Amino acid sequence: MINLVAHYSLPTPATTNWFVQTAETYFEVEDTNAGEIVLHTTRGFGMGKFTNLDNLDVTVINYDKFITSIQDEQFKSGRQRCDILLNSNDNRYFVLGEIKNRTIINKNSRKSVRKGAKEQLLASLQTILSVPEIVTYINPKIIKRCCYFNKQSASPVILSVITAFNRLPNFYPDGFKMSKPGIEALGFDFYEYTGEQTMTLTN
Amino acid sequence: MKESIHIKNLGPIKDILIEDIKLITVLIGESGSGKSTLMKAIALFRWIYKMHNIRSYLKRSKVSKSPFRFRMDTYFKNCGFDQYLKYSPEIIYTVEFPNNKYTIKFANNKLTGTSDKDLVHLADLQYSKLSFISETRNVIPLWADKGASLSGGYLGFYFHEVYNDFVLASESLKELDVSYLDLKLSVKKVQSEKKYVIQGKTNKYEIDFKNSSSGTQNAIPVSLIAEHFSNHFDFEDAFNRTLLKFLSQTDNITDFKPVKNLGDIQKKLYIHIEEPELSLYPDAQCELISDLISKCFVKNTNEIELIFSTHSPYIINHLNLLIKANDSNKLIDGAKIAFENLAVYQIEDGKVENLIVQNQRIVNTNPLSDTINRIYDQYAQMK
Repeated sequence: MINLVAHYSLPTPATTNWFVQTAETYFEVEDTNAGEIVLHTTRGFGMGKFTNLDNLDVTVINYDKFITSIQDEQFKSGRQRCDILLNSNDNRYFVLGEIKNRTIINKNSRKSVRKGAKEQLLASLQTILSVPEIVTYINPKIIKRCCYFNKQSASPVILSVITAFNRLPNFYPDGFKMSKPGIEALGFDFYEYTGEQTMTLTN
Repeated sequence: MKESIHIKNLGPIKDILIEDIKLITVLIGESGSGKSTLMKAIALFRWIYKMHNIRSYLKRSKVSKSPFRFRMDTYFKNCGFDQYLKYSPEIIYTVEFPNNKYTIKFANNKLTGTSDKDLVHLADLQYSKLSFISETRNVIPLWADKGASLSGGYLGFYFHEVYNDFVLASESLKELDVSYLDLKLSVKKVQSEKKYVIQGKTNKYEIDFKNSSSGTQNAIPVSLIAEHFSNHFDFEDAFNRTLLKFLSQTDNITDFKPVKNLGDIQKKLYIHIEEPELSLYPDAQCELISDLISKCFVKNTNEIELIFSTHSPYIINHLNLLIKANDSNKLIDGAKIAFENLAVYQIEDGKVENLIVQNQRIVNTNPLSDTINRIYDQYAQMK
């Protein structure tokens, strides 16, 4: 991230609290209303779900918070950013993640949340891949993904409509690989995780 | 044969490329997103390619004078595309065979790829029939009833296209069982005029088609035309009529030496449907789709390609059931879909997204679940 700051000739971010690390076998990533990234090992508290049975050392960067904390309004103006970057401290994984926070609803927009998520992921990818040092770092990674973690809503218990409309992911726990030519052109795959669908990290 | 289309700057469409139009193509998207524009553009270029095949057949059969000219301004007007011309639309339609490729292009207000040097090779010649079942089909019952008194009336190109196909279909089919609505359509002759009657199967009743429910009025043309084209369409008769029409316009008819018989020419039927689910209850929507798929791809004798647009989350989810049925070697209401033959596209901001999941044999239905999620997100936020 320091390379990103240097590449764009930006001032040093005000925050130093912009990443968390884990090697837990299961963790969930929560994007709190305050814009913090919190990791949970208990099911049901986070939006992005990961199994990590090989206990890979993983760093989760709060990319949104990092960019937001940079004191350069011109750089930030109109610059879309995804929520997290996830990096395994080996040559396996580099993941950009957009976590849908259901508690924030943009009432002014009827546009698909999925679409906004994909745009943020692509824009973030373009920003970081403009930094030669980051490209050099990412290139050897075996699995490069942009992921949209789409938390399911809940309806009143007496109604089954939400669970009925969202049953499909229950049959396929590993997430959906979707075509997204703009992301694929940059050497990344696009995955969508809904409800209990979980990204599996292995060595 | 592989068919592709690339469209730029055509009304709501900014840049859409479909590299391989599958046997079954389904389009979803918000109102005004460009679903109908895309479907009409595909239908138009399929029709131009059909006419290019007819011209190629006649030319190769020694009819030197071209029997018709392509008039893009008229076609664009029929499609409602004329107001898009100022934005410099570009459409490239390609049909590819193992040894040859045919490209028809509209750009800079000019059509290319249909001249004598572009003639379709003998081995690739194809005779096709197109049907476009527009959302205006709900006027059919009234028009059929009042048609005689409305002669000379014009309700737009696409209405008359679907009306003509409906009439053609009802020539060959005097009865149609519509089990998903528990009724039957009968075509009766009353004093030399056709009368369309709906009969209830469980609840015995009989009413005129024009007095039936809006769901019935929308669904029956879909099922009738699909049944006609999939099992009763007479290619030979249609081909002969086409030849006769164009040969009668040429002076040197004696020069005509048919280069190939119809039996040796590839035949294809294309059906395009705007929102098959119109006015139907969710269960009936799914059963209509099963009926349509069964007619076109299970019980069919003619080779069919189908495109339809929809706003229905039920239909998109039902497609997954039909894929699973095929994979399990079963039928759902007589229908199944081979995963490889299906494409589902979401049209948004003038572009398409392929909703086929690449690591599973399913369609991603999440985009059509967003609304219900959003409703209960807002519900949960209220104290």
